[in-house]
Amino acid sequence: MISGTSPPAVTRGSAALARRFEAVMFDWDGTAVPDRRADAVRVRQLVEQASASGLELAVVSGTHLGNVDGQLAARPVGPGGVVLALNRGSEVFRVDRDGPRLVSRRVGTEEEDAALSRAARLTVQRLAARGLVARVVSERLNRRKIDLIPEPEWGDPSKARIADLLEAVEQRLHAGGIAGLPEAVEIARAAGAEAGLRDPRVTSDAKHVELGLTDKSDSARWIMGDLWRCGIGPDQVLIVGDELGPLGGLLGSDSRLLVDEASGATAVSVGVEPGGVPPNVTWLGGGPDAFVAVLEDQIARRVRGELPIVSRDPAWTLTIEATEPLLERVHETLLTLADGRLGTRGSVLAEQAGGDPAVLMSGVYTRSGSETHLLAAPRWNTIALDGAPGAPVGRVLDLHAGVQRQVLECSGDRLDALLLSSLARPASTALRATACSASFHLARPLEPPPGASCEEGESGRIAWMRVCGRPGSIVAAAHDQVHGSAEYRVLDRIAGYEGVPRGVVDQSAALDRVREAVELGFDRLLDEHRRMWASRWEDADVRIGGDPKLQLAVRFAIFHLLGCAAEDGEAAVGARGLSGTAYRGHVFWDSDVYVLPFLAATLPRAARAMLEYRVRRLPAAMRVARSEKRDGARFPWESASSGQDVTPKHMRDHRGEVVPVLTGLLEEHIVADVAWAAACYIDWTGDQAFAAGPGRELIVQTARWWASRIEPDEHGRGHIRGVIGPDEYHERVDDNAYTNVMARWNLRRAAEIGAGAVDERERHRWLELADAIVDGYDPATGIYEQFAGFHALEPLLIAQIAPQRPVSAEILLGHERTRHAQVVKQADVLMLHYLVPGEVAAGSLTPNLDFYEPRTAHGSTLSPGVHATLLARAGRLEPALEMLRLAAHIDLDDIGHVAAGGLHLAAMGGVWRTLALGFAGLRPAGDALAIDPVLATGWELLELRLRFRGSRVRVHVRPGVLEASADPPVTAVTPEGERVELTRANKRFDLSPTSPRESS
Amino acid sequence: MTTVIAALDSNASAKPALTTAVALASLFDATVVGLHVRENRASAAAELTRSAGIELRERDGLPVEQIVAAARDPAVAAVVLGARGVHGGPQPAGHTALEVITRIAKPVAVVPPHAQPPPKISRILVPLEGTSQSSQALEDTIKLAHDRRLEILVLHIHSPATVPAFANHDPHATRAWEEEFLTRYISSPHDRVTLLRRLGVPADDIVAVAHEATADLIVLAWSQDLTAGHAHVVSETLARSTIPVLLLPAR
Repeated sequence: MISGTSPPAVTRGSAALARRFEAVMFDWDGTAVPDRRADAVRVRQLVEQASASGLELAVVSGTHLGNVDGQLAARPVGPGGVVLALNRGSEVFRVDRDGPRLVSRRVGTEEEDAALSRAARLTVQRLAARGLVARVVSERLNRRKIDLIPEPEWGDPSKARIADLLEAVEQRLHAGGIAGLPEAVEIARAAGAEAGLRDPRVTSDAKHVELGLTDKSDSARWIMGDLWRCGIGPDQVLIVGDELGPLGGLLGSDSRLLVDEASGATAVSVGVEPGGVPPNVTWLGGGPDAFVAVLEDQIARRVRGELPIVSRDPAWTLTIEATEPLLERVHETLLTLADGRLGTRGSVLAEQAGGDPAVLMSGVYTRSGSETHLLAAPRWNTIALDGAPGAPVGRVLDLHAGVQRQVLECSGDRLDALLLSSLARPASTALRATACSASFHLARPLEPPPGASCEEGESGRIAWMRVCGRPGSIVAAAHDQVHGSAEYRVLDRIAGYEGVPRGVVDQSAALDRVREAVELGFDRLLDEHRRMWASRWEDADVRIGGDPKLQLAVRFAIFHLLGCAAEDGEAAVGARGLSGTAYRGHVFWDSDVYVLPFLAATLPRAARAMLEYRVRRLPAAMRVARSEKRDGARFPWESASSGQDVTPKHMRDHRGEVVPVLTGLLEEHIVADVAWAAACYIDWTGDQAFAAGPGRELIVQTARWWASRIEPDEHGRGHIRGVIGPDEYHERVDDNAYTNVMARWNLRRAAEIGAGAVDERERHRWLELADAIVDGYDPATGIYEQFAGFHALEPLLIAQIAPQRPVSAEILLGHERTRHAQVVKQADVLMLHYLVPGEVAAGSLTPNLDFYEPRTAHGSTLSPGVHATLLARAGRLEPALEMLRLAAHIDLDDIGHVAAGGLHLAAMGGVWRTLALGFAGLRPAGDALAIDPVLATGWELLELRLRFRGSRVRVHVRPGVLEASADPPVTAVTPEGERVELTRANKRFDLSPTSPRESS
Repeated sequence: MTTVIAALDSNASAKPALTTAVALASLFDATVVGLHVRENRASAAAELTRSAGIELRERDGLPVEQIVAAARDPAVAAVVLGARGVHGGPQPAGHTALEVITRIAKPVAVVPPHAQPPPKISRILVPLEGTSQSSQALEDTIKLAHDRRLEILVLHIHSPATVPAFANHDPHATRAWEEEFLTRYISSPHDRVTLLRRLGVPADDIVAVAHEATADLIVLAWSQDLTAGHAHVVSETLARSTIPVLLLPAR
């Protein structure tokens, strides 16, 4: 955590409380109120105020709804939620203006209920046998309560008399030869076990022993899970109780709130705590009055505009300490905030040396041809500071909540800010900055992009700025509000963007966006934003146990993948997403083949939007095909707005010499790659409307391209000549295995999806062509020749020419030698095993890995992830893990100094696919999901959350064990090939220690 | 008044040294002052400076000491001196040059005796290894070169161990790598900068590229340490270069 600015402290007592929390979980009886008859009007008022301020509240009590709601009677209107977790962990109610509403109830079975009653009777009998009169005083939901001191004097003792009560009970127990409360509890526990309860929960409040199926730990777990789904982590939660310390040798009842899931939360006790409190709990004392003060303080902090802390969990946060000018552009890339429509590099709020701040909008380009690039938008994330420019102290990216925190040192003051790019309302952004003195002042809230001339204006108190490119244009609008006191100033800035790919965008939509967001205010924007991020993580998180560094790197990749594409309209996902200007925002096969599979399995609407980008450019692709006198559609190697190819025609090579660029002309496999993306989406989602409509059209038109492209020879074999495969070191080659086999797959898939919709003769011809096309496979060796003549090139292993990989072999060897050597830039043949394992010969993965991997320079960031996946599938887990680590750290470690210009989204997609396909062995198998996992050495756990055909799937792999669930149910194919139904309940499978089969 | 000292001896390098000093003076916006340490034999320095209309200061004593003392003047922006007294193929720089460059914490241009420097510098070659230290040492001079509208050829020589790891989509990858390299190590605007990259050994390749690119001056940052195992690139460049080499001490 970076410590930031704090307003003047108003909470007495504890430094632990001198900050804003996002949620308060508290005990009722003894903590919030002295007893059940007490007047709770003040608490009610505070609960309603706290809810209105956005604070989440959860009441935990052993008693029932009538008691708590009858006393509290709060009717909050939000946005902060109020939860009543009652009946000792068995029920949860949400409370709003209409009152409580049951959201969860643990219903015991008849057997459990009978066992509970039996256990309670047995306990009373056992105590009686020791001469102690005890009585079962209540039989409530999932629990039985036994009064250890059924005497009038102790009928309903107040919490303030807890020490006296304890003494009286102990005296009674000692008289019966019972050592104390712990023994009484043990008697009840043994009775529970004897009565057949599997996990009897036995507690004592000194007066009673309670036997139950649940306890407050269940409440705490439910609440922490619920808060997590709101984007609130444990360290943002305050737990308040009055019995967190030991009581009579037992753990206090509120100590059960301190579950593992709450690890990191701040816990305070307002109780008497005669036995003291544990080290992780702060004792406040003061009873309910102190609790009221805590709530008042939290409300005051919110009203003042205090910022929430960001998570301190190293598995969820990326922290950049201070600033290093040489690496500033890399840090800006890493800290990018994107919402699918808008991307903002993580620049320091006050302009810094070495920075390259930018705000980019998806799909809005300027200029034409190969010069087409993303149009830089006005910047919303700069603050005018009085005095010297602020020096950054630290920046933190909270991956779970999707927010960025910055702390700057300026003129002896500290400026503390929180920024977000709203996932809930894409193209809207917000920041709140606080400072203890007036170190910032109101200036224009928007900065023009460097070198751009902008049109500016105001509408009410909202400023707007428009930047016009050709053909696209972007308008930004922003509203600044400064509030607070002279000692504690708060700036709330809310901005909105609108862009059009062609023409001059009107400012009205951006202004409306801002007005709506201003109406909500910063706190509500933050609340809905982090809920949305939390919800995305529910379907996309990957947990790796035993490898914390990789864990963070994987979540870092997933975070940026989740923010790269909008969920509606079309999503033009450039190779660097919205995180930088490198590659000019051009869309390559990176998006279709590497990014889309992740989204198809986690955020299908975004995958669909990516495909919509291709669908809307299908007419342009068909025009290109016609212009080349062929059929179907030829998609461009590099694409931007128009659908025309925007690949540069020439470049200066590393020696400064101008050389032609042939990829735009010859890297034709993009045609099949687009079709593959469509099929991938269909296979994961089962989206029939897409499959029967635009998806089919994509697959059919791309197949028509190949049908007109394949050249038959006199022996009836089909060839594709003069192409560049994924290994771009060899140009203008014939019968590139990847291109040919992908074309074959494309034709076959088109024949399948076109059944009933495409003329039968055409379908038949496609199948004939697919059968005829050569693929370079040699059954004797099991190796596919990468292209005709590859085997005749100079044999060369990368280890012979370079001290390390990855490496740009072309620089090492020079153009000419590279072209005449068996040196491969990135997976080429092996891409077939990666994408279309059904199209390659069974058993061919291993020989091709053995042959090609040592010849591969991994000179593309796409390559390590592919190899990691295939090595894992081949059971080579150590090299697979090594490759995975490389892929996962390309940007984080700025490997090769290539991160400054933006993130490598495709490599990130490759990281996810390595975990999903490589290690978990997850892939669609018709209407079922195949699962065939392996764990890397040292991993204790691999858990993936994803979506398959509308179902939320969880796959949980531990050494030797696979557990999986799905809601609603889906069919899975087990490692043994058995079809089983996955349901909400975890299904467990024992894993054999054998290596996985090849994915083919 | 800012000055550039042209240390002129009686050898063949005096003339190219003076020409270089005049050219450098326009870079540093300085006036050239000749410095001659009297020797036993006749000197051409007086004639050279007189014909060029340049002030000549004559001193007695040890040449190295006199040059170093003169360079202490805060007004002195740079010193120019000949590499050695003899023509011919690659040879190490002379002891005077080697001693002077290690003792003066200012830019020192070393001029080979067979150099034929142009009266005006229009293209400089700046080998850049890609470290903060060397780029900081070069920063002021590159800025001056930019402001004087010189063509700046930045040369980065990869070894097999430093070849970039990735080149995803050329030409974008090449451009992105080069832009980032220049941004990291050259703070001046890049509009007059061309980055050249080679795979090889700096000590071997700098002079070759300077020749190939017809550069007028090689600008090198260095540590001023000529002890064994250090400054191999500087030593080799001084030995092989046919054009003046401007050495900038790295702090």
